Amino acid sequence: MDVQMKRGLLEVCVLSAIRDGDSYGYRIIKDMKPYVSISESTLYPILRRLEAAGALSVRNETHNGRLRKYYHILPAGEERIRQFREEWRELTAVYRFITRPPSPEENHSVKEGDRIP
Amino acid sequence: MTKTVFLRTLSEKLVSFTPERISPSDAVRALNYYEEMIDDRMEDGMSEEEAVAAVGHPDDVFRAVLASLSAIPKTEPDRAARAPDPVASEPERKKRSPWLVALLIVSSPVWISLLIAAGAVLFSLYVVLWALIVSSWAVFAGLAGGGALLIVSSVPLFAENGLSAAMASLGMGLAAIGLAIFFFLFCIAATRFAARLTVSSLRGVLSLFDRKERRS
Repeated sequence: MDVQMKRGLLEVCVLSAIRDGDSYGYRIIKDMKPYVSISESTLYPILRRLEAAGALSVRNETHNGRLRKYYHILPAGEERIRQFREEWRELTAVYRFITRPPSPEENHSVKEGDRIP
Repeated sequence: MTKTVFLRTLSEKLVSFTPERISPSDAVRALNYYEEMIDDRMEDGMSEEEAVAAVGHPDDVFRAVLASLSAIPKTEPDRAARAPDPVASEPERKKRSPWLVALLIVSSPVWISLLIAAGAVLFSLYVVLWALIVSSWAVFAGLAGGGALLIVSSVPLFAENGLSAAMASLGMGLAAIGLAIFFFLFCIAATRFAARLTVSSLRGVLSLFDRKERRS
């Protein structure tokens, strides 16, 4: 898959992992695992980018005597998910067009002489 | 590998890159993140060795941290694009100026003396130019005056020493006048050139101050 596209997809995946409630790094990875496998080192830059873009906020919370970072989705992050769904609708329309079954008349409409050499 | 060894290896790598490429806060952040990940995995039932192995080799982790830092500015232009405010970009430009001013002050014994020397050299060249012009005008004056005198003196010479002396004096006088005419043309051209140079350089210096005033 295209790197840029994958990066964008993973960002939306991470945002949707914290959409229904704040979550922490390891749980985000575990929640995503059934759908898409992601490593710690992949998640880290994504979280940093999303934070820098104002899509999520980070807070520290003590857990078993140590600190754990919880990620909280911000309105910009929710907007990002909404945008993705919109784009996806357009993409599926394009996909349907690309993968449509060949229509017989279209195949015969190109004459031998019209073909680009 | 134990968690302690992993974190120590990673921190040594990160520290070797601070503060030029990784800020101390970024280094601490990355270390906290990976420590939390290992702890969470261990809490989930993994052994320490397994948890560390799952996170990855310190070299790879370090490379990922470096990549994450270079990845962040990629989203920053988004923000910059949203606010193309000249005021917002202004302080960023000014951030460097205290250092620049300090550097200028510290190095002033060097650059001020160099500046004075350069100015003096330029000024002396300028003086030499005008001196050359003045001297060529003097040559012109000498030739013209001498020529005129030779021509005039040919009359008494004719009366006293005869025709040949008078003719020689007249001839030399005419030659001197001819050379004087040639020098006159040269002097005019040279003076005009020097005057033009003076005006344009003065204008350049004045516009330098003008620009500074407009900026401040």
